[in-house]
Amino acid sequence: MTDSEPEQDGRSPLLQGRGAVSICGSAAGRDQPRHSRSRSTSASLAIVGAGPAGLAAALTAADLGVRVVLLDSGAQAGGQFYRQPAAEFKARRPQALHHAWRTWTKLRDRLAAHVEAGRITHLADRHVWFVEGEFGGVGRFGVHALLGPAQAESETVTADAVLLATGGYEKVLPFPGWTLPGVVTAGGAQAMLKGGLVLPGRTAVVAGTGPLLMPVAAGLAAAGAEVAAYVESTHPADFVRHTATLAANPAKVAEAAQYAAQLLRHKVPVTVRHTVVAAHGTDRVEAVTVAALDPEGRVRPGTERRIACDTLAVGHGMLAHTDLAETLGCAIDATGDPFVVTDAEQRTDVDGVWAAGEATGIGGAVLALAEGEIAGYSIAARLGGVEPRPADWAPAARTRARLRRFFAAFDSAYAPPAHWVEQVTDDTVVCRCEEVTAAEVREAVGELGATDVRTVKLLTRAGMGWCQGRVCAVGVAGVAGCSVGSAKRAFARPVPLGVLAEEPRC
Amino acid sequence: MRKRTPLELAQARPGTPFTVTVDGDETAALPGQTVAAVLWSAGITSWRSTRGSGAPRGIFCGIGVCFDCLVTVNDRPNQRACLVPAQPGDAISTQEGTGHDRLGT
Repeated sequence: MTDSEPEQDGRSPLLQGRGAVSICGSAAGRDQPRHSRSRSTSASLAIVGAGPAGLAAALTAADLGVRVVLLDSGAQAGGQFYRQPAAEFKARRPQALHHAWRTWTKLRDRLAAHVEAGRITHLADRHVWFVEGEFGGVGRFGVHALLGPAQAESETVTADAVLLATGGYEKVLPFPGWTLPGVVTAGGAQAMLKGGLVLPGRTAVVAGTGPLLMPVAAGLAAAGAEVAAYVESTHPADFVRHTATLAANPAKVAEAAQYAAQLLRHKVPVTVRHTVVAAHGTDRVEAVTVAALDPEGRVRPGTERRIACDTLAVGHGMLAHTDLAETLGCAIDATGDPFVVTDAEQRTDVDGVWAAGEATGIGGAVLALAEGEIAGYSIAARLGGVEPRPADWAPAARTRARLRRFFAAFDSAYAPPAHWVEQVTDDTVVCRCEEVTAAEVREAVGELGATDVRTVKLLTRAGMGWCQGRVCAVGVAGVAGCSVGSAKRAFARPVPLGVLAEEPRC
Repeated sequence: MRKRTPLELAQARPGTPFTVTVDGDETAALPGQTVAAVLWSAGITSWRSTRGSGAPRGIFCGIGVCFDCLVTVNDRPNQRACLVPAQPGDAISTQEGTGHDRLGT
């Protein structure tokens, strides 16, 4: 490994926490003069993430007079939900790949007006890797971001308040063949389609569980792929016990019906209470095996069926990005999939830090918009030294309450098959980065006595690779038979050592 | 009937295509495409072999989280193909292992 390469395996002492950062002073000045590549901007409010939650908060706070810096990893605002085709495509009909386009155009236009007026500074292509409190007297927080795709330089935004609207990413549970090229996350297939206007192949199977699969299958079909099968492991009957919740959310029911109609129009065969048990191929996926599930979530022997395809888009729900909140010391609820704990104003338990959207629990774009708006009101009031008035955001609070109930019901209905671990064969790679197999994880638990994910990691290297366990943690925990817990990653992204060496506080 | 493409669906009007090389072979790219989009458009789905077993990998998460799509661009290894925009004349090469062996570092 060289010092200019992003951290690869988490073994470096520089990634173990802030206490070790002081040693980076020894590297400073070797390649570049100090601070030569660091820039700084200041704001009252720094928002990390320009998806629905971050945008709603930015617009609300700016409307109320707060000076906002909005940092986002994308080239354009919108996040994953409103991901836009690259500007260079000059797409005349980007809405063909989107839902709720009018909501987006309103957000986009309001953002443009605030940017024009100088109330919001939108910093695109910023990959935030660390937020620190008590930042050098310049402001209360320092938000550190790597610049652009090269990610070799860092920039610091100082602010009096921080909103974490870091969104989520897809949960994928391991199964034999899931590392084959052509097996992509459902959200990944959608991101490449929305942003790059490109398809992974000609014939796709869309499989797993959760509300994301429907728009992905509909989008792939509309864009010219043959969707050979849509395989959902739950059954519509699983929702029947939530009739009251569905009745209270007619827009959600209509949205599902709209996607169902699109699937019908594209003649996509829909199979419920089935699961993909394996992907087959050598250099890329050539077929998948699908099998029926019994009511307990076990594969029914003898029901296996092979479907030819060159793409498998798969997902089992969403996970919250909680890294920045964790390093700030915010409370995380890790009883299930981890999320940032917030109060009625979207405040975390760390003074000056708010969180909204998927980071605070998975619930979709409309909930994220409501939470962002509430956070915007709360932040504007508290930065101004006054007590916020919940009456200001009563409609958003009602939306939030309704949608949280809806997604709680969703969560219990859209669960991965209860016995998915039984399908993970010993030779299945569980940690994709470090190529750790299920057999190694099982050995760590069964023979070496590991009882938690951290010990499994120390014994097997599962979770020590490039992605720092973001992709495999749920799979490793499942195979190991323990809970995922809180990851406590020092930094939210791999950071070149040269950047650490230049940080002003070294 | 010919299936429509995503570019047609979104009524894109991309600029003039340019050329990159993929392991030395000239390949057409469109302004706005990431390296991953160029590779997918050329029918290429894997462009890395893993450090351990040498297994092929390509796009998995598509949003910069998983690091499966690492690729060498202009001799700089370990770039996430899903994030890096393609530029005219880019030399994109298959990455083996850490990507450093071939560079002699």
